[in-house]
Amino acid sequence: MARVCLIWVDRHGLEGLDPAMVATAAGLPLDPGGAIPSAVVTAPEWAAPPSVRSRLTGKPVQWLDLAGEIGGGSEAKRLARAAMAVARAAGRAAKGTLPQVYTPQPAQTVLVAGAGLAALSAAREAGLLGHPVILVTPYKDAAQAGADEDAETVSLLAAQLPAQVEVLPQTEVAFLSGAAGEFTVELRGPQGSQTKRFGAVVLAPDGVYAQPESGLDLNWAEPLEALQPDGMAGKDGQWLQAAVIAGADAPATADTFARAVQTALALQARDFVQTTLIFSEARVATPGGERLYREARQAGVIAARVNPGGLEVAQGGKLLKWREPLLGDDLELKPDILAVAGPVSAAMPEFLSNQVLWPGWQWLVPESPRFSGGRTARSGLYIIGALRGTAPGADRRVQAAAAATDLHDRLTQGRAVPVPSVRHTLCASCLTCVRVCAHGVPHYGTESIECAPAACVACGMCAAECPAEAIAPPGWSNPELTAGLEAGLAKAGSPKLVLFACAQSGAQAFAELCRQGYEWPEGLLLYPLPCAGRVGMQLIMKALSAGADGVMVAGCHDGNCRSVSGNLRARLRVGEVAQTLAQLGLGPERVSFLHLASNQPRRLAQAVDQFVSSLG
Amino acid sequence: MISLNKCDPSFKYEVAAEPGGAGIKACFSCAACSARCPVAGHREQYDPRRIIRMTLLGQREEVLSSPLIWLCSACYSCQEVCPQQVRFTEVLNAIKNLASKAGYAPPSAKQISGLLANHGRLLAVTEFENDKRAALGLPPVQERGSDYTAILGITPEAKPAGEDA
Repeated sequence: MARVCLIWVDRHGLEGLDPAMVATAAGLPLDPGGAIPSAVVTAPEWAAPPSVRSRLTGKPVQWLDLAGEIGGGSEAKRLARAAMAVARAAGRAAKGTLPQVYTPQPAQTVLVAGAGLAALSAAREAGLLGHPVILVTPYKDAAQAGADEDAETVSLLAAQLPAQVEVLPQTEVAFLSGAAGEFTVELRGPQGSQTKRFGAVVLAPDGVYAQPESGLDLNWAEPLEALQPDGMAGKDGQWLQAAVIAGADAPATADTFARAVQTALALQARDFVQTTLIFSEARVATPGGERLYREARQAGVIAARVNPGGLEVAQGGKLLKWREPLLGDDLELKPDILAVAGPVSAAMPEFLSNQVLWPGWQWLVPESPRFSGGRTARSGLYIIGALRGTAPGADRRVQAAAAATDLHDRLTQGRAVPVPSVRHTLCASCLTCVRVCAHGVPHYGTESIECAPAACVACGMCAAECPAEAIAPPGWSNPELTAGLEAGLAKAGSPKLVLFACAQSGAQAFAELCRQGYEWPEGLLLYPLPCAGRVGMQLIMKALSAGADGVMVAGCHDGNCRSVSGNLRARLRVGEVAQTLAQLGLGPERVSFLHLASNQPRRLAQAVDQFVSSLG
Repeated sequence: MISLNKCDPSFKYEVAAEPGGAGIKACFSCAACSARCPVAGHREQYDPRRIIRMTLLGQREEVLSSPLIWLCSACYSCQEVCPQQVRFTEVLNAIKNLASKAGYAPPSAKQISGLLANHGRLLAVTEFENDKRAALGLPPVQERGSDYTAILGITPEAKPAGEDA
């Protein structure tokens, strides 16, 4: 019992309890600080501070929601209940053992590329969270503000950057590959180009006023900001026709669209003025944007959606023509007043486009709440600020802070997911990876295999199936895994058993068993893999030749695989290895496959016990 | 080619001002109504969203003179599915009212309103109904509508001609 100690994390519901008294009553020492073999913590894992979590990584720990266990009542009763719960948890913690777990370490440095409020805020927040930050800006110094931003605020922010932030002026991102924890970025600056490794990348280019629709006479058409609706009025029977163009050639940003709707509303409020709002996409994803758009329709503004580039501008804007998609008819309007949203925009970096998967943008930044706070479909890549259409001011700062918090969580809590890369010297362009990848990541480019950046979930099926070991998500290649295997097996007891566990099912069931205080066999080496599909014949054979007595693969149930066929491929490969072992006379029972769900820890325990006893 | 300059911007406000027409401007053209409409399944030309759009653009004559607006069977399916609470069945009643005022009501509509005004009902009353009423202890209904005019308190001037005969 003495080796388990109590770590007290103060939470709501634990008021009035003295940690020392609870510890004494439960018969445990309080946290002495420093390295401890195992512990009971008075908070669930998610609620514990990062310092506590990092100290206890790889230790048998009981995360106890103590507040929920003790309830209310008199002081003495609560103390008794707390002591009982802690003592019970300590019993489980003392019984538990943890086998060696292989975890690749993500890079911690953060790259912020861009300028202005969003870039500086993101660099600042990430720096304050303890990450080394490199801020690359195309300008001479970091104080350059975007076209729609307050220059003074930005320069003040630039002057107050924390010490962890290194600024690389006149530098641009030339190429980027990878995902959270493992980005490889090529930076091009005055000193030539250099390649660096980053844990997360934040893209925050500054906004510029884009060219309005071609053919517009800008002497006549007014920018939104300059238009003064006061005093404009038509007459009964002779209405004044106003038009507001909010991104007809290409969709306006949400912020620009909101301003255009506001202008349209102000115009419509005048007497006998009919306003037509012309846009190619109604971007209402701003706070209150949806409401504002509805308000405009209620006020009588005609909303006219045109196909991108479908607005025909004649006579400098005095005649507008477009196809009305609902009526299937052509519409024309000769506006008396014309306002144009000079859209603030930032160019999408070229290296991000992928001709195979997405021609534009929507695949990377889907309009879903899951991708708020600067997140993109690609783990570890954040796009914030003007490029995202975020309004200048507080909105950009909040978004930058949200991105920094999210990347911090991702890099410190093992949620980093890398993207495969191809070693071209070994690649024979056999297209096996193209065939097996369920996410469309590898594709044949002009001369060789290329990998689509955002699509990869690092299931590693490509690495398992590649006959030349030429492709793998960084950190998950055969040599890297084998190195970990050899080191781990050298330390493991006997019989030596390697458990390859899918992160979606096997590894979660394993973690649940550890929480319950399960006693693992001494020779067990756990390898959490992003998907069971990562296990190929090569890896199983390498584990056996490195000294493992048995190899077990725990993957998801049929039809549950996030990568469609990872579990089935793993099962197939295990069967093939068993056949080969039988032919060699080495015993087919040394490999086994287990279908599992994350909520079946007992099933995993039984299977492991059975497997170990069958190995003798 | 439709010219917005020739359209009537006040038309949508007129429809909105009629009883039942208030919701029309909220429409954002999602076509939930058109997809649900059972009439649209039989007559391709009948499209609730299209009627709303034409109204919002201000195509007064085209909408009011269209025979399509009289096809609605008032099943209220559109009203149920509308995410913006446009209440299209009621909006269409408002449009039909405006069309009647403008003299576009089809002959059948006039006949129906004549039946209602003269008899208080759309179908003839036979002995069958009156036997049923007698069994329930209700007074018999007469062919002529004098009883309902009395209940509603319709003044003789407002009565359609020939009623008293």
